[in-house]
Amino acid sequence: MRTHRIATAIAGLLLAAPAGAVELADGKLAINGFGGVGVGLTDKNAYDLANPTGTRGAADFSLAVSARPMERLALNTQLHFNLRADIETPAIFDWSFAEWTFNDAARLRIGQAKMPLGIYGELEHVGTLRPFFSLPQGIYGPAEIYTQSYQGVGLTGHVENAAGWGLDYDAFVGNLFVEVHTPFAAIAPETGAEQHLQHFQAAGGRIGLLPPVEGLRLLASGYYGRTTRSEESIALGEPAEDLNPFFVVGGSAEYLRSGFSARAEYFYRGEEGDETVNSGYLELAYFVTEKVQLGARGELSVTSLVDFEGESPLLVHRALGGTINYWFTPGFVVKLSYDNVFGNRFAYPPDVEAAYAEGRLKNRTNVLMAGMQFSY
Amino acid sequence: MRTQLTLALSLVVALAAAPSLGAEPAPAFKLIVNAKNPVASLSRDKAASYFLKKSTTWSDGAVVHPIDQGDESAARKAFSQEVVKKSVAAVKAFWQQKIFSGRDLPPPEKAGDEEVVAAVKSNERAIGYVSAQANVDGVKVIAITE
Repeated sequence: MRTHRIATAIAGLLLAAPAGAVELADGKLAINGFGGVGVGLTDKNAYDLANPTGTRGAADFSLAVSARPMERLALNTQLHFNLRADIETPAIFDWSFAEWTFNDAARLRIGQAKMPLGIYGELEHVGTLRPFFSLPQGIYGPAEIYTQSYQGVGLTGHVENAAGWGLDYDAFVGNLFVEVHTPFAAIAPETGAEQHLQHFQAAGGRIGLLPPVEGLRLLASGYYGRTTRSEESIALGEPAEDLNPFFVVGGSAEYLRSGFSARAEYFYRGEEGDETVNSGYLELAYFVTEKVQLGARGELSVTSLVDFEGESPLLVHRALGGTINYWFTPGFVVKLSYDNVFGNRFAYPPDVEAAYAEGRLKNRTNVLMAGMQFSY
Repeated sequence: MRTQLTLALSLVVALAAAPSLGAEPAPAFKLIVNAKNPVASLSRDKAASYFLKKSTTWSDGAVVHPIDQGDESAARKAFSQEVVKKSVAAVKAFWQQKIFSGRDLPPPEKAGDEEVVAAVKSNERAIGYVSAQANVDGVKVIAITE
């Protein structure tokens, strides 16, 4: 009943979307939104939003509210509604923080702010700012690299010189929560629960270099953290003591120009005495007409476990995909994509451990996804 | 005879083309600030920086209040291409990134020249642009330098 009410409310908001962003008090209060609906089919394993029956899918909507009660003070919040029937908490705050501007080079943030990681770190659900319906799984999926937000204190700013070079930076310290999927208990039983929530205390940031070349952006980002056990993971049988420190570091490059976009990222996650992850991708897209965009993406992610020597498809993810998109407006797009996935790091059946033991785990998965995404 | 005819035709073509070759085309917009603002000119980079909020203060430390026009405005299209060096769609995408990452809001949009002039007239820190033929009484037109 509750979900039904929320769905009705969201339907109303979706109908209101074409009206555009709401701006009040001469720009001092703005309400924007974005969301999408998508479905995916695979021939074998479950992967991202897709499974063999097409019943996973995605249906979500976010409402971003920004207020400027004082010239140097900004209050920001974003509420995310998940409309899938199997989601227990249909509405959550993506972020909610206050920002004080000292000057262009220094803005202080306090609260729960978006995670400044890589190109897409702060824009996870905004489908109108990327060519593919879903983000690369090796970095933004359940690879223990990306988390949606941090709860704590951050400093951000922008400087540029007379020669046209610009520098953006973010620094933060706080708590992170990340959803972890580790489908390799069959080869390393001590890895624990297949899916659980991990809690980190971390410090990190991002530096963005903006050369005087229109559309080019180079980023370096990462964080250093210590994992603390959540009540949920302890309840699932994991030991209560904290884990070893770990770090995530990566580089990103983005070039956007005249209907063409190229993005590439590489990230490394290392944890003493535990797993390491290397993930990267290259994504290209081009508007062949004013409305029609074609895109291609190649992705690789390799996980190494200290307690497992040798090779296993459970530790590998290779994906090659393409998308064709029709943009009705810059804020409304319909996408159809295909991915050929090798490996079971992110593509596996619900009974992955048994499937592996019985030799029926399929290494290759064909994935078809279709959906629409909007923003206003 | 044929040579003379060719020369004559070339001369006619050259004379016809002369005005467009010799003169810089006039910009399709004027950049305006409040009459009390001491600024007389801005570099193109600085003006773009103000409208993208990469720079947010005047030289005296006061906060800049940029004012945009709607997506379909001819003045906005010309200003975006010539000053910001991006299409209006690219500027919109830039602001989507800023909005949805919780970083900033785009400048308020006014519906036409008259509203922009009125907003700039009433705000000492404002900066806006209007079409070249707009009535700019009561505000100051400033030059854009390279």
